[in-house]
Amino acid sequence: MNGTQGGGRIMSNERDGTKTNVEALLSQIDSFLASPASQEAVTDSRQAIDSAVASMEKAERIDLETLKLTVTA
Amino acid sequence: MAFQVVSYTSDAFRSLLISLSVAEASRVDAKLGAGYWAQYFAAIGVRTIVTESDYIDHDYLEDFSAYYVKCFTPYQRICHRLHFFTDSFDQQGLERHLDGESDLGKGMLESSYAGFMVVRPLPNSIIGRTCLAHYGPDGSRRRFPTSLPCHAHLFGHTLCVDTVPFQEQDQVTAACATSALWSALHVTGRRFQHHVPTPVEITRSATQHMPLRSRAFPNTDGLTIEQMAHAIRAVGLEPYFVSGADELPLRAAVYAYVAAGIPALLVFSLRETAPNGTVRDRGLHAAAVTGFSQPSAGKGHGSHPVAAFSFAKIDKLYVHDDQVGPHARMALMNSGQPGWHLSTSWGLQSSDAISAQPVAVLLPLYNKIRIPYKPPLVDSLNFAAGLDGLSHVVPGLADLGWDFRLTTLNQFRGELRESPHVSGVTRRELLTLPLPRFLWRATASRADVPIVDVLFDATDITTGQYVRKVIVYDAALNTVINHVATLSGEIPDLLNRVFRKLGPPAP
Repeated sequence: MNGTQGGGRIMSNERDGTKTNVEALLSQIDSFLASPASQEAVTDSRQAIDSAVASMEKAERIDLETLKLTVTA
Repeated sequence: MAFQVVSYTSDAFRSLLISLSVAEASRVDAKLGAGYWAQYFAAIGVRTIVTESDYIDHDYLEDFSAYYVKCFTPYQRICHRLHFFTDSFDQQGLERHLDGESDLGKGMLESSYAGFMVVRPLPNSIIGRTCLAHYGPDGSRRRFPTSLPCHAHLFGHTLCVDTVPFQEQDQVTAACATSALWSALHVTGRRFQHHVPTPVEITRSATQHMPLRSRAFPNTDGLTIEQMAHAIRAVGLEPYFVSGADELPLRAAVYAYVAAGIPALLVFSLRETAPNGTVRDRGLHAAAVTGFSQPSAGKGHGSHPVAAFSFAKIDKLYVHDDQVGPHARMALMNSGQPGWHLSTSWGLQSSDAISAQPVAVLLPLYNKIRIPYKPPLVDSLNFAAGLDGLSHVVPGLADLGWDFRLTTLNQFRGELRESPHVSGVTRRELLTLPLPRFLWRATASRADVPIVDVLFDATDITTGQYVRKVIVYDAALNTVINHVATLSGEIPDLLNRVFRKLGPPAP
């Protein structure tokens, strides 16, 4: 973190040399999160995660009959 | 002659197998018929074979004492060993080197070593313990994280190759499941310091409390999946099952553990499709997963955020399949569709229409790896979705790639120490941070530069606060993420799946 500029905190990223006005960004984020767009932004992801979780839960419940199968080939 | 130097050709290899074993030529031809070995030796660049006569192999000796010595036929107990090199040299060159008259190119034997194969003095199952170099990385596409240094000693030279030991089943003391277990337990034995059982010991322990329908020796009946689990328990590890019915958990589990160097045992159903479309079941087969291939280009399997995870980009598994060879490819076919399956070279000499339908994945785990892959992966998927949602206003969070796998504290610290992207106080704090021995690690990065790391305690309980550390490498981003986590809404809720489980500092 490197001081202030134009009324906001400025952070310099040493790795890529970029500078970020943090206050401005946080304010932008607050507006975004308060808007319906933020909910829409993750709707598809939520569905993909629900589907992945269901699939993983099913995979955990390996049935006992499967365990008794003989590996012979 | 104590040794023989032969220029490698597939015919020369065939002739050596015939002359050093007691197998008939037709049996050796049937074994080599599918061409896997010729293709493999070409891929790893073998040019020269050195035979080592009268080699005593521990695994074969155990099998011999348990079974073959009691046969009426006088089977031999002494094996031969073939050593493979990627440089060219001849008989005279090696003889002069052993006479002390030439150095055969300083360190050439060591630097060009591609591994060895024990040839058993048996009529059919002649390929004993085999440690051959794995395929090259092809950029960074192929990875074999389960490989460990395997040493061989030849005429005063200590030779080394990174791989996982392989051998074919002899159908007497071992079936395919035993061979796969034997390969996997070689790796876990080194990683978790347990006794590495021989094939006959594996069959004995597997059948001790769960009798087979038939006798244990000769083991023509194979093992059940449950018996395979019992063989894992017998060495002090815990078997963890994942059903192979769905593609996503298979990808995620195999990647999460294999990337940590733990071989997965893959049990699959072999299906032969006739030209008229009828499918014939050829039985269950088992192989040990040693690595995987991930093309750098292309989209991962599934939708976001799943597609952003490295397991979604796997296009091939590499397996030790005792009926095919070491590090054999199994490509994921029809990925994402109902008819998905794996390709296999099993039975290629008789049919090219055999596919593999995964049934189960069995993982031999150290007892302190208590939390399975699912809970931290679900938390990581939520966190990834949250960051992706924020990318609409924070451009630095767009298009992150995620890597989720098991790791150890030493691996984590070692990778951190070598990383050019982490420095200063952050580096020191992380290198000295008290953490458990086993960790689940989810890393978000862009262009190989780490952006976020989430560390989960793999030794804890899932209902507890098992997130040990959320590392945001960029200070501005750290402020942003911590700010968002204090708010309410869909995106903060996704991030808080991780933050809510952040445990107290270590004592």
